[in-house]
Amino acid sequence: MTRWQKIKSILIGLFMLAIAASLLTYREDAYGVIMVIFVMILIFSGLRMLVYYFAMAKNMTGGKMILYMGILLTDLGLFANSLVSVPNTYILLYLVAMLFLSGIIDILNALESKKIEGHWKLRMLRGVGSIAAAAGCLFFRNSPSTVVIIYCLGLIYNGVIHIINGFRTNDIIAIQ
Amino acid sequence: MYEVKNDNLNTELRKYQNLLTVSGEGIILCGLWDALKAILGLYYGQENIYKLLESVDAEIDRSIAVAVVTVIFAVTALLVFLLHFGAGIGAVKEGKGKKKGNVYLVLTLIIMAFAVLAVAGQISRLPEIPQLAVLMDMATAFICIEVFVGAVVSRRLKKRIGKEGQQ
Amino acid sequence: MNGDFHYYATYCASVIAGYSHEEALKICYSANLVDFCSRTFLRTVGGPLSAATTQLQSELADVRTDILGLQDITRIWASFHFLPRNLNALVKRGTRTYRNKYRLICGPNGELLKAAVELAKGKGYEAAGLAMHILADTWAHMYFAGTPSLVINNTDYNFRELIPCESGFENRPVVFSHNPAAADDPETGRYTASLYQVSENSIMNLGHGRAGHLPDYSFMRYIYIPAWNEYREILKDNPSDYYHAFTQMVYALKYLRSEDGIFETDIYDTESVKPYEEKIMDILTVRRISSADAWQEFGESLSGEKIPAFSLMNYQKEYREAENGNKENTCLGRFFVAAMSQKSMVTSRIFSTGSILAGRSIDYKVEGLRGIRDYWQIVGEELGVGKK
Repeated sequence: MTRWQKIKSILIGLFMLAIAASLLTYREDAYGVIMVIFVMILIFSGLRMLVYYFAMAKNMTGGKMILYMGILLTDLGLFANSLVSVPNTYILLYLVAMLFLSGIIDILNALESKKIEGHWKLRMLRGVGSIAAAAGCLFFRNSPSTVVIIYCLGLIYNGVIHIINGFRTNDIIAIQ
Repeated sequence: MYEVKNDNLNTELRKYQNLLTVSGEGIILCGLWDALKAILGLYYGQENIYKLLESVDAEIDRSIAVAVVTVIFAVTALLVFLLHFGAGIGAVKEGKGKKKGNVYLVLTLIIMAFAVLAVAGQISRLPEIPQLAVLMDMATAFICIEVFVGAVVSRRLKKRIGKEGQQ
Repeated sequence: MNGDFHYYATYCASVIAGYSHEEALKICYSANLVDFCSRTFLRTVGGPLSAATTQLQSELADVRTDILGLQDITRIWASFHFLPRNLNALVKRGTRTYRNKYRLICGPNGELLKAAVELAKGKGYEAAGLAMHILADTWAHMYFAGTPSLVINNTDYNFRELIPCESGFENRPVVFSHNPAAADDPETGRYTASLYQVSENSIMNLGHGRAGHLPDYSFMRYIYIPAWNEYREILKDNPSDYYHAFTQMVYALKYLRSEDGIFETDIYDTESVKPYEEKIMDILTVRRISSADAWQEFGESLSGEKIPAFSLMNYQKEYREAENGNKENTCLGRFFVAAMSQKSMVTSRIFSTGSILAGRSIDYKVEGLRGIRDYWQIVGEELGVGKK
C-alpha cells in the first residue's frame, strides 16, 4: 500500500469507531440514525450516477440508461427519507444483509489472496467477524438495544482492523 | 463480405432505435418502481393505511378494511405496472427491429398524461411537499417523450433508407 | 491473441525473418511469457514486481480500483496488451477524463508501436519477443483500451458474427453468457463475456472483457458497435488482421536483427511470407479455439526442428542461481529489464499528454533517482549513479 492508502485506511478505521461510539450513545434511537445514513447513501449514489452520466456516459452508446438509473436511485433515496414508520425489522434486515455480504466478500478475497501467497489472515478475520456479527444480530433480533450493541461491536472490530492495516509494512523488492 | 453501413442515415437510425430501446426499458423500470412505491407508501408513508382507516372503529372491521384496501391497492399497482410494461416492451421490440406497432404508443401517451397531471398537482402543492418529489414524474414524462421521438424519427429514417435503396 | 499465435506463430515469423531455431525459440518464449509474467510469477522467481506484464484473474479479483490501483492496471495493460494508437487523437466531445481514456484506445501502426519496436533494438531476443507480443496485440485488441472504462470498452446486444457459407457469409447474432466456467462454442455462437457493470472503473470493463475472447480467435469475423464510436458499426476481420500482424512481425524482426535500418509503421513483409500465405490463411480461418497444433506443425516444417511446448519453468533456475550482480544477464533478467523499459516508456508518453491514467512519470535528469526503486537499475548507469 502507498502512504496515502495507509492514511486512508487509518482514517476509515477512526471514522468507524466514531460512528460506533455515537450509535452506542443513542442505543434504540440509533435505528433512525442508521436509516438516515442509508438514505444519504442512496441519494449520494443516485446523484453520483447522474454526474457520471453528464460527465462521461452521455458520450456512450446506450448511455441514457445510466441517466434513468441515476434518477431512480435518487428517487429511491428521497422516498426512503419520506417513510415515517419503517419497522425496525427492515432496518435490521438491511444491517444484517450488509454485514453478511461484506463478510462473504472478505472471506472470498482472503482465499484468493492466500492462493497467490498474499496477506490473507487479517482479511479472513474481518470476514469471519462480520458474519459472526450478522448472526448475532439475527439471534438477538427481539432486543433492539442488544442488536445495536452487536452492530457497534462489528463496527469497532472492522475499524480496528482498518487501523492495523494502515500500520502494516509492505515488501519492497528491488531489481537486485 | 459485409459492407458496414456508417453513412449518416444508418448511423442516425441506430441512434434512435437505441433511444427507443433504452427508453422502453426505462419505462418498464419506472413502472416497477411506481408500483413498489405505492405499496410501500401505503404501509410506511406519511399518509399510510392506518391513518386513512383511523375512523373505522371495531378491530375486526379495521382488519377487513385494511385487507380490502390492500387488495385494491395491489390490483391498481399491478395494472399500473402492466400499463408501463406494455408500453415499454413495445418500444423495446420496435427498437430492436423486431416488431412495429402503435398500441405501445397509445399506452405511452396515457402514462405521459398521468405523469404530466401528477407534476402539475405536485407543483400546485409546493412548498408543502419536497421540491424533488416531482423529479420522478418529470423523468417519466421525459422518458415518454423520448419514446415518441425515437419511434417517429426511426420510422422516418427507415422510410428514407428504403426509398434510397430502391433508387 | 492466444498462446498459439504468441508462441508458435511468432516462432514461424522469426524463422521466416532469418533467425535460427534457437534464436526463434528465445523470441517466441519471451513473446508468450508476456501473458504469464504476473506478480505471482515474479514472487516465485524472485524478480522485480515492477516487471509485471500481466495480471492474473485472481490478482484482478483482489485489485483496488482507487486511483493508484487504476494507474497500476493501466500501466500494465496499456503497455503490453492494448498499446494506444494515438495519444493525441482529436476528441471533440466529453470531459478531459473522457478524452484521456479515448486516447488510450488500442490500434496498430501508432507512434507508440514504432517506439516500442525501436526500444527493443540491440537489447536481445527477449526484448524482441516482448515487442512482438505488443505488436501482435495491437491488431487483435484494436478498438479497446487498456484501462477499466465502461464508456470506452462497453458493447451492447448489437453483436453479429459473419460465418463463411456457400453463398458468401451468414450473419448470425452472437449470444454472450456470463458464466466464466462455460466454454466458448463457435458452432452454436455462444461465447462468454464479462458482466455488464454500471461502474466506470469496474474490472469487468477492462480491455475487451465485454466482447469476451472474440478478439483473440483468429477465425472470428464480427460486426459490433463500440461504446465510443457514436453508433457507427465496426467490422472486425480477424483472419485479415492476424495476417497483417504476422507479416508486420516478419518486417519488424528483420529490422531488429539488421545493423541499421529504420522501422516504419504500416509496412508488411508480404514478399517473404507470400509462399506461405495459403497455409497461414488456412490456419487462421479454421473455426477452432486453439490452432497451436497447426502452427507448431507449420513452424517445424519451416525450421526442420522440433518446437518444445511452452513451459514457465524454462530459465527460472538460471535466474535464481545467478549472482545478485549478474541477474540481468540471464534470459529472464533481460526480459524483466525490457518489460520495465517498455512500461516506463509508455507511462512517460501517456503522462506527457497531460493524462495521469497511467500514473506519474519522473524525469530522472531533472528530479534525480526517485520513485520506484526497480527502475533505477535502468537509468542509473546513464546518469552515472551506478547500480543500487
